[in-house]
Amino acid sequence: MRDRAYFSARAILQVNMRARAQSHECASKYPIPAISSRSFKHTDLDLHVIRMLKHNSGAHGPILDFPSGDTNTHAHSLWMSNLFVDLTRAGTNPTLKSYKSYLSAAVTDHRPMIANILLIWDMFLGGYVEEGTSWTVDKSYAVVLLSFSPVCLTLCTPVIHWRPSSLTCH
Amino acid sequence: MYTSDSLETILSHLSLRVMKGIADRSCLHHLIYFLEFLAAWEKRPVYLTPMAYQWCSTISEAVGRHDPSETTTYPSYAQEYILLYHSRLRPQDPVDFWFGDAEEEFSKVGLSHDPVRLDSTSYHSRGRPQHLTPSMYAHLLSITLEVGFRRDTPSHDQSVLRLDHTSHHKWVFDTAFSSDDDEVIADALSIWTTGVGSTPPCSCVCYLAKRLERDTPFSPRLWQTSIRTIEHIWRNELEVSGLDTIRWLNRLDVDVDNMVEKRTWEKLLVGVMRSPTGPESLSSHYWHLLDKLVTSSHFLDLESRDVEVMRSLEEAEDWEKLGAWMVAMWSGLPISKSMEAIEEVTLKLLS
Repeated sequence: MRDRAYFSARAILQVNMRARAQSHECASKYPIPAISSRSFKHTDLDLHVIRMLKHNSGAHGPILDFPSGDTNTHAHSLWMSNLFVDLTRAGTNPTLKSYKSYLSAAVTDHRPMIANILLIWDMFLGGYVEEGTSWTVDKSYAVVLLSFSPVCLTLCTPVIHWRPSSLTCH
Repeated sequence: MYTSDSLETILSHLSLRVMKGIADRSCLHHLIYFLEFLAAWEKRPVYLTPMAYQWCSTISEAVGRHDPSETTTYPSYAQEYILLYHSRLRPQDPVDFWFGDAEEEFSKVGLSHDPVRLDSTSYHSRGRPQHLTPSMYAHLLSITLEVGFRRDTPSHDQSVLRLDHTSHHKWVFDTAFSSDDDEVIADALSIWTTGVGSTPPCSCVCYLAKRLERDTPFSPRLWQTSIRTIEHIWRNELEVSGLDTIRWLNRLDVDVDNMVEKRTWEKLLVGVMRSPTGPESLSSHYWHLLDKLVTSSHFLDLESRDVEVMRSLEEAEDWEKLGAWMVAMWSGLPISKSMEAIEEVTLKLLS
């Protein structure tokens, strides 16, 4: 049950962040959840990410730095890259702000995360990436690579895996 | 499922976008950032190399279409960056230097604050073409070469790569070898050792001649790359009697410990020493080096020319080289018909 709550919270957070990125009106409707400093002391890394999102969101949307590899686990960095794919698709561009931290992601050579960052570049360079296309933590995506076309990346169907301890990048 | 294939698919897809971006000169900001990202990816896959080589060709094509009457729209700091770049005083972060104001501006996220977004659409690449100067193309080329050819440890997978050489690559070589940055030259030199049967149509020695005119020592990587290149290509391409080749060797001061293929070096050095310009031009270092090589391998195919080498060194009174040459010959001497001639010259020298 705790895991379900955990992933549900993550999904809600992601939806909220995306909605915030779309417009100023949405930003006010979808607040980032408040977390107490007491919770943060329990060193839950997800809470750390939420705190980072909260501290790096302006009135108009996110102003995000990509998390550096030495302060976050691969799972959290991957989740963040997934969020960035989502935000970029929604039209807001957090990448320039976080350009240098992207370089640290390149150094880690965590391939699913790099793949997500490449998807972001693809969109910046004029490509269209369909919703749901990304590599995420704890989600299984059925990627049909054969249908990869020049104008549209493949649509992936998410299937939730309830395995918090494992990093399943599908 | 995430696989390495999917990464390759995305990169192939992105490769087309990069070529399009270079060709229509759009979204330069993102291209630079993207290339910097790939360059920072230390374990980037080898299949990026042919892609990067294609981008080089595309950059060259774009230069060919460049209208010199166009004036740059970049601010003065970009021009200053180019001057620094060409004087080896590269700023710490070129991207910041070029686009520093844009970065600062971009921290104010939102439609009205995005300096890259040129219209109300979702994607930034729908921008207007940007004007580039040839120097900026050279910078783009240097990053692209780095992405394709700069690796700490050469990958064994490299042997399966195929590089397609186009006429546009001539500009690539001309530009890269004219660079003041030895790392860029080393990247370009690596093209000669990459892939199978992919030797570019022109000799790397003629391109390197410009660098040889400068007295400054080679960077460690250019030095290392030079040694590997010589080992790799000397049979097919290297004109051992050429003065440029000898000047190149003299700048390297290769030692036995630096060689991967000692037998290759032995043959190469003997070939240079037998050439008309070898006795006079090749530095003494290599004559002593040949001693070590021949002594360790005990193998030297003597030719009648070897006696002439002795005589020419004697006439020039270059006793150091002569001594080293004689030791090398006697050390690695098999029983052959040349022995009598060598004995004759040796006796004459000793008398």
